[in-house]
Amino acid sequence: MNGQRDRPRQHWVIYALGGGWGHLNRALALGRIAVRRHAVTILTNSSCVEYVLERLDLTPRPPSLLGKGERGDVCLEAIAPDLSRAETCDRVQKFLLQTKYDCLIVDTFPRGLGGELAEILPQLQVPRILVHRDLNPQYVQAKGLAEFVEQHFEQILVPGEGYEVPLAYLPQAQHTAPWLIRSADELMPLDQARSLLRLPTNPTQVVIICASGSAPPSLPGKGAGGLGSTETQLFGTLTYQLHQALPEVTVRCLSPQCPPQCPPELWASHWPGMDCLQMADVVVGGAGYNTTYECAALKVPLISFAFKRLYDRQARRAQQHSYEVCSVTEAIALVKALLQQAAEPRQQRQLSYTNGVFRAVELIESAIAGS
Amino acid sequence: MRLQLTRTALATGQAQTSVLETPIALGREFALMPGILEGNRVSRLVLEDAQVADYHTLIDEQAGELVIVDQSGGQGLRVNGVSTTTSPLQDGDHFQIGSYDLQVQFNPEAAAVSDEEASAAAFNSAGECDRQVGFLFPRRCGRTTTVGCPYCNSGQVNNDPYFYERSYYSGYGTYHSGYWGSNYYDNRDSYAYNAETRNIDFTDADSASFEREADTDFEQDMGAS
Repeated sequence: MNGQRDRPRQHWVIYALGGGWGHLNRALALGRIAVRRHAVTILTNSSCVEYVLERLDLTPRPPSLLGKGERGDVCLEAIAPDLSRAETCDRVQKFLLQTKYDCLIVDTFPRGLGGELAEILPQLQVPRILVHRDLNPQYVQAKGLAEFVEQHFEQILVPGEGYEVPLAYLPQAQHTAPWLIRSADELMPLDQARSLLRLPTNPTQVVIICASGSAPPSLPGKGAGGLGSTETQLFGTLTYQLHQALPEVTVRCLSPQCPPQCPPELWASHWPGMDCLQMADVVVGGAGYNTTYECAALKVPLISFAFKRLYDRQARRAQQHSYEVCSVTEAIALVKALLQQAAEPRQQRQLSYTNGVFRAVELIESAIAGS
Repeated sequence: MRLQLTRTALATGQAQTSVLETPIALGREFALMPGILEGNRVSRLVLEDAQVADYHTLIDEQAGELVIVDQSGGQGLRVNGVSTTTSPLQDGDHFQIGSYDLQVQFNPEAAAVSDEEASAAAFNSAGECDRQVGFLFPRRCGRTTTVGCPYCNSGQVNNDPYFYERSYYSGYGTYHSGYWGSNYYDNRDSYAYNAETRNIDFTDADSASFEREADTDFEQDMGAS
C-alpha cells in the first residue's frame, strides 16, 4: 500500500445493512484498514452495533482495532434495527443523497436490503463497488441482479468466497482472500486472551462455542426438531452437555449475552471473537462468513450448524470449510473425535495468514482512480 | 394501488412509461420529495424540467378515490386541460406539469401491451402469422389460422397468461449463467414441444416459478442477513 500514499484523502461510505454480525464485522474489517488513508462511514442497522461501540470504548481499546489511533475517522452511521422497512429505506436514501463521499461500497445487497438502492443508484455520481459474499441464487434470479449489477457497479469484490458464487462470472469481479477483523500480528497476546477466557493455567484442550442468533434454529431439509427455541439456546444447551460429557476439556461459550441453558461460569464475552478463537482446539458455531473464515485463517477445526438464512447459503460454506453437523449429539461426538486427533497443544502454534482487506483497499482505490 | 404513468415530453414527443404504487410524488428533485407518507413508501418520479418544482404534485388515494394534489404552491398543474390545485383522477386522464404531459392508466398489465402487440394474428403475404409468441422461448408463430391457437384463442387476443408479464422481467430473453432464464434454458428439452401445433406447453411448476412464495420475502425483512 506504500505506493498509494500520494493519493488524496477520500471519503468512503460502506453500506452494511443487515441483521446479525456478518455485514457489520466485514465492513469494520475493511473500514479499519481503509481509514489509514481515507475517511470511512459505515451505514448499518445491525442489532450488534451497541455491543461493538461499547467494546470500542474499552480502556485500553483493543490493540490496533481501528488502526493508528484514527478511530475518529471511522464513523458508524447507525439506523435503529427496529425501524420499519419504509423508515429504514428512507433513512438510507436520505443519507446517501445528502452526504458527500467519493465512493460507495455496498456489502452483499446490490439493490439494498429493502430494495431502496435500486431507486437511487442511477443518480449517484460516485464509483460503486459491490462486496459479493455468497448469495441465494433464487434471490439473484428473482430480482434480476446479474443485469442490475453489471449495469450499476464498476467493481465487484469477492472476499474469499470463491468462483462459484452467483455473480463471480461478471467481468468486473475481482477476488481477494477473506476479509478478517484481525491480521495475524494483531491478535491479542495469548496471556491476555487466556485471562479473558478464564482458562486454567495447566494446559488443557479448549473448545469454544460461538453462540449468536435469535432465530429459531432451522437446518436445510431438517427443520427445527429438538434444536431448541433459538439458535443461542441450542448453543447454550450444547455448552452444558459438552461440559458434562468432557469434564477434562475446557469449554467456553462466546456470546454477547449468556445464552439460555449455558452455565454462567462457562460463558465469556469479547469482540472481536477472533482474539478468543486463536485459543481453541475446536470451535463449534454457525457457518456464517466471519466464523468460517476466522477459523480457517487460524487453522482451527470448525464444527458447524448450517442454519437457514434468506440470503446466505450457510450449507454451501459449511460443506466447503467445516465439519457440518445437525444435532447436539452429533456435535459432541465430533468434538471428541477431533480432540483425539489433535497432535500438539493448540496454543503453541505459529500463525500466519493473509487478510484480504489490504488487497481490497488497493483494488477499491484503483477503481476510484480509473472511474 | 398500482398505476401506469406515461409521460410525454411535449417538446420532443418522446414518451416513457412507469408502473408505480401509490402514493406517487412527482418533482424535479428526488431528495426533496417525501420518502414516506403516513407510514407508506412513496414512489418518486423525477421530471427533469426547469418548470417543474422540486416537489410538484402528489397522487394518492383519498376515500377510495384517486386524487392529484398540487404541492408546488401554484407553479402549474392542469388536469385534462383545466388549471387546478386538486383534482380526482380517472382512468385515462391526462395532466400536465411543466413541459410534460402525463397519462394515468389504472390497469398497468393491460396498458403494458402496445396497440401493435394487441392486434390479433398478423398474417403475412404467405398467410402465416408473424406474431411473436412464447414467454421463455419467444418465436414467430407461423400458424396459418387462429383456430385453436392459445395465444389468439380464435381471435380473442392476449389470452396468453404469460403475455403481459414480460415487461416485468428485466433480462427477458437472456439465458446465460446468472440470469433468471438460464435454468429454463438449460432444461429446455424437458418442455413439451408440439411440432404440429407449435405450442410449448408450460407445466404448473413453470408458471409458479415466476411467483414463488419465497420470492415475496426478498427485500422485506430489514433484519435478514
